[in-house]
Formats: sequence, C-alpha cells, structure tokens
Amino acid sequence: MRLRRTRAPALPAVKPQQLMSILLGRVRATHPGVDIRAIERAYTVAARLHAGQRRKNGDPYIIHPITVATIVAEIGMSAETVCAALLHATVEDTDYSLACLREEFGDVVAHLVEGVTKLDKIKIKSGTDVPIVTQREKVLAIASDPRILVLKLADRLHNMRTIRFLPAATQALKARETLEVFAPLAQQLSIATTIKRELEDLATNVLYPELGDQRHRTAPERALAASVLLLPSAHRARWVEEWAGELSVLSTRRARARFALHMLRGIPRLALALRQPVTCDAHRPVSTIVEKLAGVLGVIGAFLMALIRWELAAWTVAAMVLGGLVLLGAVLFARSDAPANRLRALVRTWRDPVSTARSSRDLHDRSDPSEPEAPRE
Amino acid sequence: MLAVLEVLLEMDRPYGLEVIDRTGRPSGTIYPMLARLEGVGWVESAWEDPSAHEKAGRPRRRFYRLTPHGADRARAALARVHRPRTQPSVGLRFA
Repeated sequence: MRLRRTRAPALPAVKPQQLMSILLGRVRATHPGVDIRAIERAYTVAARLHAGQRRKNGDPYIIHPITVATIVAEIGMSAETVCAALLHATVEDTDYSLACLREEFGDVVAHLVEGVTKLDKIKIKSGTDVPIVTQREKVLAIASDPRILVLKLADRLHNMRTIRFLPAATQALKARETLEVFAPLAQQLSIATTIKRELEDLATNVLYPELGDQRHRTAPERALAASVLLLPSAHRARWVEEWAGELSVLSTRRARARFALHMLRGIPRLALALRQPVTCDAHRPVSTIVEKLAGVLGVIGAFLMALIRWELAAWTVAAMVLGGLVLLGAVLFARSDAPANRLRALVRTWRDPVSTARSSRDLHDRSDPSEPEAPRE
Repeated sequence: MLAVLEVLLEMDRPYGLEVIDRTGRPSGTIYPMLARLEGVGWVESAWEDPSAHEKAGRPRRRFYRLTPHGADRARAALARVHRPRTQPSVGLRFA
C-alpha cells in the first residue's frame, strides 16, 4: 500500500490549519483516545518559531513539519514522535534551544529532535571515495533509536516530493544520497517499507528521468536499464550510471551491442556477487540479526530468517517446496484411494482421538479387518 | 580472475572497459569479478573527476584500483601461479 499523499504543499490554497486537521485525523485513526493536546501545542510552538520562513517553492515553512508529522502518523508512530516531527527543525533553524524544548515537551521529544538535528549535521558524501556502507553506519550510529531514523526518513520523503524546486545539481546529489544511503536504511525498518518504495521511485525519477521515457534510448541502454532490476536495489543506480559511461565511449553500434549482450549474460552473476553477505553491505545488519536468531532458534530459525530477508532466494525455495508438494500429492493420491483413506483416518484420530479409538475398537471387535476404520457415509 | 588482478597491478586506475579490453574477457565476466573483489576489499572503485566527463559531455565513468591489502594478495596469488613454470624463488614477486 502506498502512503496516502498529504495534500500537495505546492498548492497555495492549502492552509497549515487544514493540514493540521488532516494530521490530527490520522493520529486519531491510528491511536484512538490519544491526548492530542501535546500535538496541538507542538504545532503552535513550531508555527510561531517558523513564522516568516518559507520553503523553496514559496510555501510557509510550517507546511513541511506538518507533512513530515503526517507521514509519521500514517505509519502509526506515537504522539511523542508526531510532536518531534512537528518540532524537528526548530532547534536547527530557529533560536529555540534544546533545553527549552525539553522543558516544554519532555525528555522523549527532546531526545528525538536532538537526534534528527545531529543527523542533519553529518555530511553525507554520496558518489565519492567514502564507501556507502561507512556513510550508512554513520547515520545508524546517531539514529540508534529507530524513531529518529523514521523521522529522518519522513523528512527526506517530503523533501524528495518537493525536490523539483531545487537546482538540478542539488537534485541529483540528494537523489543519489536517497538511493544509496536512506532507502536501504528504510528497508531495515519493516514499518517504513512504503517510505522506502516511494523514496526509491522519487530518486530514480530525478536521476534517470529517461527510465520513464524509453523512446530516446538505444537498444543496449534499454536492455541494461531493464536488467538491473535483478540487482539489489541499493546497487542499481551505480551500475546503470557506470555502464552508461562505458557505452558512451564505445564508438561503434556493434561494440555497444556486444557490451550490453555480454553484460546481460553476466547480470545474474553480478547479482549473486552483490548479494553475498561479504559483498552486500546493505544486508550486513541483517546478518547480525540472523546470527542472534541462530543462537535462539538454532540453524533452522536462522535459515528461515535469512530466506525471509532475502526475497529472491525465499521465492525460489518456496516455489521448489510447493512444486515438490504438488508432485508428492500427485504421486500419492493419483494412483489409488488407499493413501487418501489413510490420511482421512489420521486426521480423524488427530481431531477426536477418543471416539476414533472407540470406533476402531468397535471395528476390531467386529473382526472385519478388510473394512477401513472410517465409517462410510 | 588472475588476468584481472594482473591488469589491476599493471594499470593505474583502469575503467571497467579498459580491464575488458586488456584481458579480452567479456563485460559479463569482468564486472561480477570486480564487484566480488570490491566486496572482499581487494579492490576499491570511485567515480572519475567531474571536470573530465562534464567537459566531454558524457556520463561519468568509474575507475578501479587495488587496495594495499588487495595488491599484496594479488601479487602473492600471481606469484603462486607463476612459480612452477619458472624458478621457484622469491625474486618472482613483483616489485
């Protein structure tokens, strides 16, 4: 399910109060009976502090925190997290201090806003020599509380929705950051999967607008752009860009076609190389979860967990198991009725052991072994 | 794999396409290999300088180089393979 879009902030007719009533509606829907006075107070304080500030598209700034809070409320986060979303930019962008915030809204909200403020200060250097995994770890080190990560992801999501108002170079930078750092982090939070999908869609639209319009692409580019879908999502952008660079320096159409054709054959191998635990940095935190599970549930639990997190393998194995069951069923039941009768008897015994035992004893007393245990209907 | 390591030892920061040309192996073999080497930390890659590709008006390319650890391991691996054919001595190790 996609997140319902909050009303487009680009529309000048939308007033902050209207957005607030939508937000409060969402909060009441996900947490019936919750005290919304703190949220209203957070809105009043944020609106006062951001008064006069504007977004790049000309909207009053307060629209942004309200939308972020709505995204957060839609995925069912608590009232405290919604308050923190409304106040998330106050400490950084206004003269409101963290101490004041703590005094007015308590330790939890202050802790969340502090986390988001710290996250905003770290410099993410996408597309540079700094490995992506290091950058993700930097974010995770600060966002030790998953609520902070949710707030940051919601903030990024609204910024990506309104990215068209930024200069082209900044758009590309933010989109790359989103694909390489934030979308993979969103994947780790099961509640944030809808956010992850929308982040990826928006970022891909910025970086590869031509993916939506295939008419102007050459056949090799089209083929490669389609086949990268086999790769883990965090790696796709890099490889599409890298191959586009290589194709651009190949002079003949034949050389480009050969490059693409060989690459198409190698993509499954590349996908495997990227998905291996040691290579696939996106899955590294998962492997630690798997290790923990292995300790608790043993090898089978860890194996199942690994399969669940690694969808491709999970689907393959599920298809194989299902196929095996169908074959087994066909072999067992197609040839004679005996296995089916036996199964029926087993099910009866399992559901009602007492009466089945009695009926089988009766049958036994009648000393008629040729008759099956289950009475005919 | 060895051919790729050899090229990476010889060339200064080659692009994927250059590794393909030098080794004579297809792209579908070279890129998975480079990805695997990168995954185990033998190789690192980075985008070319923006001034180069922006001037040429084309998408940026990505170059590869051995990490210090990878270079050591690559030399050791190549030395192991070449040893039986020539004199078994430490002199075979690349400078």
